[in-house]
Amino acid sequence: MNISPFYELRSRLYACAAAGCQTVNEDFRLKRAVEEFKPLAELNKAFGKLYSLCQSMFTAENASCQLADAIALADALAVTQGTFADNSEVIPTEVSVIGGQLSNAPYSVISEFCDKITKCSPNLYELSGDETALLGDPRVLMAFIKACGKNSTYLDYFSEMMFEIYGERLVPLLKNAVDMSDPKASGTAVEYVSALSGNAENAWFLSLAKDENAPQNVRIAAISALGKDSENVPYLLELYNTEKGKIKNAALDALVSIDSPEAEEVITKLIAKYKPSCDVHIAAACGKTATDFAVGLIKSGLTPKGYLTNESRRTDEYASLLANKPNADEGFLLLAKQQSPEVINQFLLTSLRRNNTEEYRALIHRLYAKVPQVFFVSEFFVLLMEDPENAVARMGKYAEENRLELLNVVNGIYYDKFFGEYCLDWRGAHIYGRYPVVRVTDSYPQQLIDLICDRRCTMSDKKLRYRTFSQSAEAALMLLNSCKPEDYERIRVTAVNFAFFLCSECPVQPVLEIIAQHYKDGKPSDYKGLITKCVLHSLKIGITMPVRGIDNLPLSESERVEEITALMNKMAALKGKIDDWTYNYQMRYINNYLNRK
Amino acid sequence: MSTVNSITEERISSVAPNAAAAQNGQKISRSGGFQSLFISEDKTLIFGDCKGSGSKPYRTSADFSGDAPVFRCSCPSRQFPCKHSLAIMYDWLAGKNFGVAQIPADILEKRQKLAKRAEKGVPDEAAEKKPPKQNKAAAAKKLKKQAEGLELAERFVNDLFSRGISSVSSAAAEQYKGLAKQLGDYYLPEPQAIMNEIITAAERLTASPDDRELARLTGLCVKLSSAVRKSRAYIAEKLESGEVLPEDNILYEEMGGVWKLTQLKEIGLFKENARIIQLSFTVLHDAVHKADIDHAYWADLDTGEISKTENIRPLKAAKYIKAENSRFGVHRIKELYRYPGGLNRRIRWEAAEISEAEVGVYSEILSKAEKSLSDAVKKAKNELKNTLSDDSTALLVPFDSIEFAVSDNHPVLRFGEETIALRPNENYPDSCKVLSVLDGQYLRNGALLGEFFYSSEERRIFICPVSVVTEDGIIRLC
Repeated sequence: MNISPFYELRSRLYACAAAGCQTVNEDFRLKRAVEEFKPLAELNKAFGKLYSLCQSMFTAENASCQLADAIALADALAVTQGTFADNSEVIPTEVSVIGGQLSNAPYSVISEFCDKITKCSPNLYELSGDETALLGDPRVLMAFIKACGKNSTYLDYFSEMMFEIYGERLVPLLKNAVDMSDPKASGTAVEYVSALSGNAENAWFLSLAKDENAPQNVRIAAISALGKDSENVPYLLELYNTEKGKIKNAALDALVSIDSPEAEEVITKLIAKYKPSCDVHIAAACGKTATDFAVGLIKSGLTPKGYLTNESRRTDEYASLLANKPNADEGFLLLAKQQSPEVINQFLLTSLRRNNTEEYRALIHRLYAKVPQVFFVSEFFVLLMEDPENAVARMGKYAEENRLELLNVVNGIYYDKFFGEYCLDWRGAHIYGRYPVVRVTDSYPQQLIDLICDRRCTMSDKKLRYRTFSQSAEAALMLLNSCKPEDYERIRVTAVNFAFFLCSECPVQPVLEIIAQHYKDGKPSDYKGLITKCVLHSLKIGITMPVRGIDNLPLSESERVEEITALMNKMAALKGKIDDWTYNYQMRYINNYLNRK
Repeated sequence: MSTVNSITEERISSVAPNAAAAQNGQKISRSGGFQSLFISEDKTLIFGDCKGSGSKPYRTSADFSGDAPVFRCSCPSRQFPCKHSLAIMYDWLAGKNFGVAQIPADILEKRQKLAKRAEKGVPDEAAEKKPPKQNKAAAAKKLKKQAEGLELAERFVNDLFSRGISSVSSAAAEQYKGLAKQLGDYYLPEPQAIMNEIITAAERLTASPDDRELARLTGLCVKLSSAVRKSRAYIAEKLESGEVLPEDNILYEEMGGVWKLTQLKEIGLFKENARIIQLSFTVLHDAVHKADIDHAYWADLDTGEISKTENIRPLKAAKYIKAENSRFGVHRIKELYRYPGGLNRRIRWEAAEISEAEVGVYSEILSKAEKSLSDAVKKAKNELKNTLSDDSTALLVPFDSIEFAVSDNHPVLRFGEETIALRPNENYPDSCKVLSVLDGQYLRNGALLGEFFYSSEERRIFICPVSVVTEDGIIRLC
């Protein structure tokens, strides 16, 4: 039975409700629909009732009630007529398509975590153990896929964990996540596909890059992904020649990031008409022409002795020109004469973060071999990546002389519970961060423990010596609180001994915390007098060891009061011999403490 | 009398005022907030001192000596139980070391006071259960007033149909708003809420026309018109017969009536010794009533009936109302109250004994699924065609497999020779996507709890997947 006249009548009834039934008698479309429905009404009782209701609308003074009834009946009949069979061709479900695992977490936990993901919260860098356990949950996966529409750096670290769980199985989901209808859609999903599949999805990247209707950010991300394969040079060249604006620039950057004759030709033309706005493309280029040009610019901007000439630009502008050039040794060596080691290493590490390739790491080794006193931080960073067990030994005397700087890098090593390995934070680069994740080792290298807890401190500058010891104590405490459980005991023994040593060398707050929290075999007598010893020594050497450190020590209330009282008396004797600020600072705490008791 | 051994994670969640409090309790437990932990010899009391922001530690205890646990804490929090009380229970669950100690004197004193109060206050059981006497005259008066209000509502909806839903002038909108406001004087909160929703949507629609929204709005008007007329007839009949007290009829709630459990019991809407298990949980936003609804579907393990619980939290008062959460255990309920309704009746209970769901329970649920897809669709159609029912209805349908269409990857459920397409709906917008990334083992030989709905554009019935039940567990898709 053909029931399309019924659906036509239903839609006319809706139209009548929208327009108003005051003029229902003039609604010839509705009248025609009712007439065409008549044959059906004769065949079926329910249809017959609808027909009668419709007829009564045309004669009623106010048809509102009849119209509402007719729509209600038509809706009910439509539901009754609704079909349900779906004969679509299907893909049989294999044992595991994606592999999301069941987690029995309550709604509140899942929804809060998914919210965090879809809003790309900064907290995604610090997942709790419970949250890490939820990463395999399909609801969390879908939240991640949804979030890929947002362009947030906070998602990058999280994405590495998802890559670890699902690997290339994510690719089809990420491809579907690209919202082609939203002009403001981000290219994050495309970037992730590129990170996961390399050039395997080249055809897809190409189709997106060529699609003029695709969102701009998506196209730019696709073009950037094409820059990872030299076979794409002709397409990139075509895009560069035919497109305009940001797409043209993206095609140019991707093209020159591949070392090819075509790219060299393009960059040569660009240099011939050089203006400062070309710098960004010269920085993106990796070929010889761009490298030579950048080195030339630096040379022209420096005097023979390496100082900046009057006309020269800021050195950070020069350094940024060398960003993607693994053969720019000369340029960096020139800059090293003028720029502080901290700044120059920052540029090197930032570039390494973008291009963590063997070629770039080799550049750092070469630079260190030539001017070790400048490049030792970058070298140490690379050695931690390549040979963490022997990194300190390979740094030789530079590890001893520059312990403070190296401790800063060491402090960037954290134990990642999810990956089950120690990873390296990008300390020293322009912006700190854990992305891309650099996995270093699954067991904390002994040489690093020895570096942190090294009792030798040969520098003559006393302030530097205290700063180094102070940094060491902080590093040791941080390591104890965050290391892999299997490494804890090994680190604890060395660190506690070191802390006791520091009590008479450089008594700072973390020293007492190490002793209080990690000196497991301690007897009450070991802690007695410790705070007095530390405070008095700190006064002697001119650093500040807060008396409140006593709060951390496992002493009874009476023992604390006794020690603080004794300390107060000793401090009173020192009045006038130490600076007023330190004296008042310590005495204020002592008085407050005793008043409280 | 129970002991601390009755503490389970689920029990802690069920007593926590909200999820945040439970999480905070966990945080305190993990960070070792308790400086001392003790347990009484008879294991009915755990107590300890917890470090807080105050100068002195808080004295916290959880007392299990009575029928229900009693929580005491010296912290200034208004939440009850506070995070410290929850934390001490988490500490117990975590297996932390509790020293055996005597019950503190102040707690003994409080226990005695409680016992005395209970002795004084406990009337005999029959008297307690006896529902309060209902005032027939007052009920009749209220019905008459409601009938007057319904006349106003009918005038509104007729006027709207007469003038046209898609072109409500600002003058007409103002007039309608006045009418809606008046309805507040006639004990008709539900029709009033729908009227307000219609007026707002009509204004929006006049400003920016949208076919889908227009169809939805027309549906709302038809629903209101139908509810008003049915309610008027219902009231007239009741007033004529003199049986003015509420009965098992959905119209009582449609007019905004609120059921008391004693009323439900009186008209026989309750079940004794029920065993139910939660199949799904989500929080829905109800724009009409400006509230969040903690919505859960439950399966009756004896009858297979799919019921729902709705904990309505008006946004204005959300802070003060305890939010519900997912429940995983089997709930044994002495008296389960069932509200009037269709396929998915609303249920409520006062006390439940919760036990862990054993593997066999899931087979029990599976055995209660519908027998065929066509049977399920027939049931759903009967429900959906009722103007006053919801836009969707939940059923548990068995499946041999859930596969994905080559054309657009939409999931297709197959059982025997029959198939049906799965589609997301407003309540569960991501559930199909989650289904598509589920491990394949869950997509064979199970049952799907889904909301059946009718799509007028495609003239078809679809199921929106909510949860998958297998022999080993329930996979919640939201």
